[in-house]
Amino acid sequence: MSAYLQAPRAGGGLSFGRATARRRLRERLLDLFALWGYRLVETPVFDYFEAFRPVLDPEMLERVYRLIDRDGELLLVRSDVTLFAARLAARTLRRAELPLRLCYADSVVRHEDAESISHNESYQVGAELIGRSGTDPDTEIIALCLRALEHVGVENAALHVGSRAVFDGCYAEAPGAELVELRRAIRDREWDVVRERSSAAGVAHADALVELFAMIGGVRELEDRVGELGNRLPVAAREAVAHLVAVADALCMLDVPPVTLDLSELGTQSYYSGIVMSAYVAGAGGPIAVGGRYDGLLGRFGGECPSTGFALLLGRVERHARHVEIAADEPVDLSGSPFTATYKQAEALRARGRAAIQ
Amino acid sequence: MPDDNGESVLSIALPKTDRLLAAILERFAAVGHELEFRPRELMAEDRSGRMRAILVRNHDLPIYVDHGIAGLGICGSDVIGEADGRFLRLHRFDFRGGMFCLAAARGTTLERVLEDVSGLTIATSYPRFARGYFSRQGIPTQIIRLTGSVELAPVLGLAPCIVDIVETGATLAAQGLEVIERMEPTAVYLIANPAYYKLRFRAVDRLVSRLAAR
Repeated sequence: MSAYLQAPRAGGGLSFGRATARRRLRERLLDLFALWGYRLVETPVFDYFEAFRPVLDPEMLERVYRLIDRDGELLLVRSDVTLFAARLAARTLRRAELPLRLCYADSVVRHEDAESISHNESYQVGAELIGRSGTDPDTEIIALCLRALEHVGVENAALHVGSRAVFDGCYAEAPGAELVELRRAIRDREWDVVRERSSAAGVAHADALVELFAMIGGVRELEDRVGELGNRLPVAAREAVAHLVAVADALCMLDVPPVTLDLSELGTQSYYSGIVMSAYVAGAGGPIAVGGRYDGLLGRFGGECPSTGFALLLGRVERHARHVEIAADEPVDLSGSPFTATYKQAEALRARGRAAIQ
Repeated sequence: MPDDNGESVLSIALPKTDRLLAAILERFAAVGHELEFRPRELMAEDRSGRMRAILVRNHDLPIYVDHGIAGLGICGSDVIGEADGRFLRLHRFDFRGGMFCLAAARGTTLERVLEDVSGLTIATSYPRFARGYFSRQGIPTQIIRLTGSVELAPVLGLAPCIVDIVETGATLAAQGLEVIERMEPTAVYLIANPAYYKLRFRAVDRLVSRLAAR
């Protein structure tokens, strides 16, 4: 029976060494976030499904787990910590002093396809900066993400930063039904489809927009593309580009690894509204960290408030985290003698931070 | 990590299917990547040393790319659509592809097969595509997944309809079947593992530009 031979999808657990390594990784990250003033929250394991339904896009709706409580209420199992943290924050906004800096380390449960390796997304450690808009909070969140990757020893990560606001500005006239497919096609760099869908949606200058969204590079390359578009680029998109450039310029003034500007980074979640980022390392199939600005999300939960944040996908990060030992400490083995005879020796070892078994 | 200014050695998975492989190798030779697989060899490096290729079964190809064993791959939309994982679709080749079709015994109409109130029973090797296509039209389906010889299903009474890729229709005709709905054309794509692409975008984009210019 396969039911006995394997863990259910999105289930499973960690063996001793990996569980220890994950705990160290989690603590190292949370310690860093605390030094930046981010306070730990614990999000609920499940919450009312109806509260989240408007912000779950069709793809995510297919992957979430739902259950019914004893009162017949439909509940959503935590599928994305940012979503649950946003609802938690929205509930406490009235009595909180803004900005709120939250961090968390929580597991998520989503349906995964049988062959998928993305089940490594199941544990997220992240930080959210709630209550501030503008360049500084976006710069802070990106800098913190870069520092977090460095802090756990992830080397040679490439952080690609894009902007959902540029997309929204360019496609403000497109019908809502087209936007999901347009975003997917841009993310997947399927430019033929972007051209076809843009033209079908009545969006002017489809070829020029493809050139803009296909660009990957630095500030100068982005400004060159924007310059070529000139007044054909809608005002809202131009403002979003200016914001992205300001964030990139601010990051250049800091002692953090360089970022790459990449407007095909739109994020997979429907709630993003501004900058969007993904961090990549060689050997990981997808991003090891994701994040961005989500100004409209808390408003859906009754607490309108600009917000930005990111999450590290721990299952992917831990394979590249060189500062975290994977092997568990081998305890000093004092067994073989009566418990009482070795107790003092064992306690002395424990006081020095060494593990001991009797 | 900043991109390597395009100096990467590209790794690519190619499908073993003879006809498609021949077309791919010819196209790659034309853009400066001459790959030669000796008999029974499954790995090759081009003469410039800038590309390493592996030969894998068509349906396994996305798995190799998803796991990063090969950063790039060339694959039909029919296979990509059934695969798990997320892939960038960097280039659509102009190779002649087939057409996803709904087929049934000669003389059958779509209206007739839809009369069954329990929905459309379909045998196919492409369950995800078939389910998605009819779901978008609000037609409930019962899917029977087969891995080959799908056209036998209506003949032997397993299912009244099949969804399969049709090129000439000769195989269908030989079993007394015919197309009752042309659904969607298939295409061949250069796909990429997202992380692989983002770390080597200059080298990959250079290849894509050369392919697009052909």
